[in-house]
Amino acid sequence: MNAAAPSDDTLIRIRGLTTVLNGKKVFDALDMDIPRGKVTAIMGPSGTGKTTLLKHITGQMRGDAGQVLVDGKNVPELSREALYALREKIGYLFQNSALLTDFDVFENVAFPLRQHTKLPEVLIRNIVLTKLQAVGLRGAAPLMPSELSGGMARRVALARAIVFDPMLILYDEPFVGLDPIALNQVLKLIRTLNETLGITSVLVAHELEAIKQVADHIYLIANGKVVAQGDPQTIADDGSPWTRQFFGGEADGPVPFQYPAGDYAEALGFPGGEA
Amino acid sequence: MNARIERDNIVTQSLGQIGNCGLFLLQILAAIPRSLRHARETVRQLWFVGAMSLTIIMVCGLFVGMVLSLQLYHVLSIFGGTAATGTVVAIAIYRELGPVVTALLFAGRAGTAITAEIGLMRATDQIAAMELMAVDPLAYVVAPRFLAGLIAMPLLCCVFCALGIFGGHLVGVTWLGIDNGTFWSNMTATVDVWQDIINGVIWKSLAFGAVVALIAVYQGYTAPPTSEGVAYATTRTVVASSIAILALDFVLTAFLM
Amino acid sequence: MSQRKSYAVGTGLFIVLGFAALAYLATQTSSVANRHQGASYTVDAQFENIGQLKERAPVKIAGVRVGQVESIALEPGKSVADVKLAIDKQYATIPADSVATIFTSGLLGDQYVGIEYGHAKQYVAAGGKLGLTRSSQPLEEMLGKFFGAGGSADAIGGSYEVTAHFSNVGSLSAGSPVKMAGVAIGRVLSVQAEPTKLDAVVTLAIDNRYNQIPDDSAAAVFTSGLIGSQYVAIQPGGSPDMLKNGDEMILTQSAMQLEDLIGKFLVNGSGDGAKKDAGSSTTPAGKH
Repeated sequence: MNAAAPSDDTLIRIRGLTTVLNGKKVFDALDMDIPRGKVTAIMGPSGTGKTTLLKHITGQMRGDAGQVLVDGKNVPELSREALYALREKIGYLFQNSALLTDFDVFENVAFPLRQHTKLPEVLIRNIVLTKLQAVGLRGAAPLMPSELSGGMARRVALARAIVFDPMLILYDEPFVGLDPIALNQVLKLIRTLNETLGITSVLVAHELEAIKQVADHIYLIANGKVVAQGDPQTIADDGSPWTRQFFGGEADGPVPFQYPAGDYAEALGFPGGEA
Repeated sequence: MNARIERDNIVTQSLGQIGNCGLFLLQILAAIPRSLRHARETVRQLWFVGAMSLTIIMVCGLFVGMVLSLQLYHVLSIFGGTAATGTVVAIAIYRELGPVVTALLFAGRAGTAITAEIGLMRATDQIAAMELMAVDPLAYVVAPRFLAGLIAMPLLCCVFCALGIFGGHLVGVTWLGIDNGTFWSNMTATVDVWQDIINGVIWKSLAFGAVVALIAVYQGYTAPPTSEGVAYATTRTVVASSIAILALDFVLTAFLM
Repeated sequence: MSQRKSYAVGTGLFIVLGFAALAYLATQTSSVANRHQGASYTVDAQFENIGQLKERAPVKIAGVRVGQVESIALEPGKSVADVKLAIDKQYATIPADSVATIFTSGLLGDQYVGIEYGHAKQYVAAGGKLGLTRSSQPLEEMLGKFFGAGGSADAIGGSYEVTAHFSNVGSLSAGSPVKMAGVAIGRVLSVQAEPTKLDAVVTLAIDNRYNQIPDDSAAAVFTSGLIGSQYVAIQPGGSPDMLKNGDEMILTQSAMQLEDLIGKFLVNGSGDGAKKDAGSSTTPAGKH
C-alpha cells in the first residue's frame, strides 16, 4: 500500500484519502487505482461523496489526509500554477453542463483555446468545428446555451471538455435527466472517445445498465470506503450485501432505509418505548 | 466557503461581512494583473455595467437638474438672488447629488446585475467549470467586473452632472427666464475645477464605484448557490451599497472639502 | 465576432461620451472657462481696501472681461494693497488716466476690478500703473451706516416707556432692539394694533441712562443687514424738551421693505447681467 510512482497503466492512484466535512467522515482511508486508457465507473448510494471524490482529483477540494496522485503528481500539494497546468489536461463534464451563458455554442467550445493559447482564428475555428462534429452538433454552433436541450447542452459541454485532447475526462453523472435517445448518444460518445483517442474516463453514475455497456471497471463505494470493485460482470455476480442491495435496488440493507434517528416510540411520546 | 459566518448577532455578522469583503478586495487586487490578459472581458463588462446604465443615468440627471433649478429659483427669489441659481445647481450637483445619486442608481442598475450574474454563474457551476478549465474566475469573472465598475462610475457621474446642468439650464433659463449670460457667468465664476470637479465628481465617484463594485462582486461570489441565495444576495447588494455610499460620502466630504 | 465588435464600439462610445462630459464640466462650467489664455500684459493698481477681491477675479471694461487679477500683495510699510492685473494684449489701448475700481457683481456676488476709461492720449504700458483707483465699497459697510448692528441694551439702570404709532411695523416684534446711532438703548415691550386709529402702537422701553432724547425725535422701523431682523431706530430731533416716561413719539417712519427694494433691483438688473456695474446697486439702498 505504499504510494510508489504509478506504473504506466495506473493514471490515478488514491491512497489513504481521509476527508471530514461538517463533522462527517466522507472518506475513510480510501484507496483506489484508476487504470490508464480505460473507462472506470464509480458507483454508490447518493451522498457517499462520489462527486466529492472527483473534486479531490481536480484539486477543487483537499482531503485531511492521504494522497491523490494524478499522472504522478500529488494533487493536494500542487502549487496553484502546477494545479492549473494539470487541469488543462483534464476534461470535466458537469451534471448540469455548466456552459457559459454569455457565449454561443461555438465560443463556449472555443473558450479554453482562447484562454490558454494564441492560436490564429482559422485554427481555432477548425478545432472547434471538429470537436462539435465529433459530438454531432456542428450545426448548433451559433445557438446560445439557453436554446439547447439538456442532452445537446451535455454534448456541447463534452466537446468543450475534449477541445484540448485531455488525457483524462471526468464525467459527473452524465446520464441524469436524459431521455433514452440522448442517453445512448452520450454513451456512444464516451465509448468512442475512449476507443479512438484512448482518453481515460472516470464516470460517476447510477445507471447500472448504461454503465455495464461502457465501463471496464467499477468501484462501488459506501461509507467512505470501497466496498466492491471489479469488471461489471464480477461486480454483478459478487454476492456481498452491498452489491446485492445496490444492484438489486433493495430499499433496505447495509444502506439503511431509515436516516439515523432516536428511538421511534420515544419520539412519538409512548412511555414504554425502551421495553 | 469563505463566508461561513456564525449566526451570533447582527454586529458580529456585519463585522464579519466587512472583514471578508476586505479580504476579498485583496484577492481581487491580487488577481488584477492576471485579469489584464482578459482585457476584452473587461471591455465587455464596461459595456454592460457602464454603457447599459447610460439611459437611466441621463434621464435621472436631467430631472435632478430640472427639479433643483425649480426649487432653487423659488427659494432664491425670496432673497432676490435668482441670479445665483446656476451656481447653486452646479455646486450641489458636483459636490453631492451627482456622485451620490449616480452611485445609488449604479448600485440598483449595475450592482444588482453583477451580483445576480455571478451568483447564477456559481449556482450553475460556471465558476467551477472555469476553475476546471484552468481559468481563474477571480481574474476572469470578478476582477473585470470590479474594474468595469471602477471605470464606469466616474464616467457615468460626469454624464449625470452634464445632464444635470443642462436640465438646470432648461428650467432656469428657458422656462423661468433667468438670463442666460448670468446663469453661466455666475456658475463659471464660482465652480472650481479642483475643489468641485476633481474632488467632488471624480474622486468621490471613483470611491463609490469601487465600493459598489466590490460589494456587488462579493455578494455574488459568496452567494449560496441556490435561487433563494442569489435573490438574497441581490437585495443585500442594494442595501449594503446604499449604506456604504452615504456613509462614505460623509467621510469623503469631511476629508476632501 | 460581430457581437464582440459591437461591444467594443459601444463601450468606446461610452468612454468617449464620459470623457466629453468631463471635459465639458471642467472647461465650460468651472472657473477654467474664465481662466485667461491668450498673451497678456501686467498693470499695477493700488487699492486702500480690496474687500473680497481674490486672485483670478475678472478684470472688466464696460462689463466685458478683458483679463484677470494676477496677484494681490500687501506692500510692506504701506497700508495699500498692490494688485497686479493681467490684461489681454488685444486691449492694449487703455488710457493712462483710467480709473480702476473694485466692484461687486450683484449684491451677493464676487468682486471684480472694473476699469473706466479716461481721456489721456497716453496708454498704460506693460508693467505700468493705473494711478487712479477706487477701493472696494463694502456693501455691508454702507448698509451698516444706516442700520448699525449691535446687541440689545442691558437695562440695569431701569427703563422708561414711550409709545409710537406706525402704519406698518413689518415683522417687528416684542423684544426687538431699540437703537440710536446704531447702539442698542432699549427694547420693544409690545406691538399691538390700535383698534380706533387702525395702525400699530409700539411700546418702547428705553434705558434710563438715555433720558436726554429730544421729544421731537423720530422713530423708524429698520432692518439689520439685508435679511436680518427688524428693530426700531431713533433719530434724535432738536427740541429742548426730553422724552419722559409715558410720552408718545409723534414722528415715525414705518418699515421699509428693504427686501422688496433690493429684490426688485436684482430681478430687473439680472436682465442685463448682474456683473454690470454694481456700484449703482447701492444707490437705492442709500436713498433712505
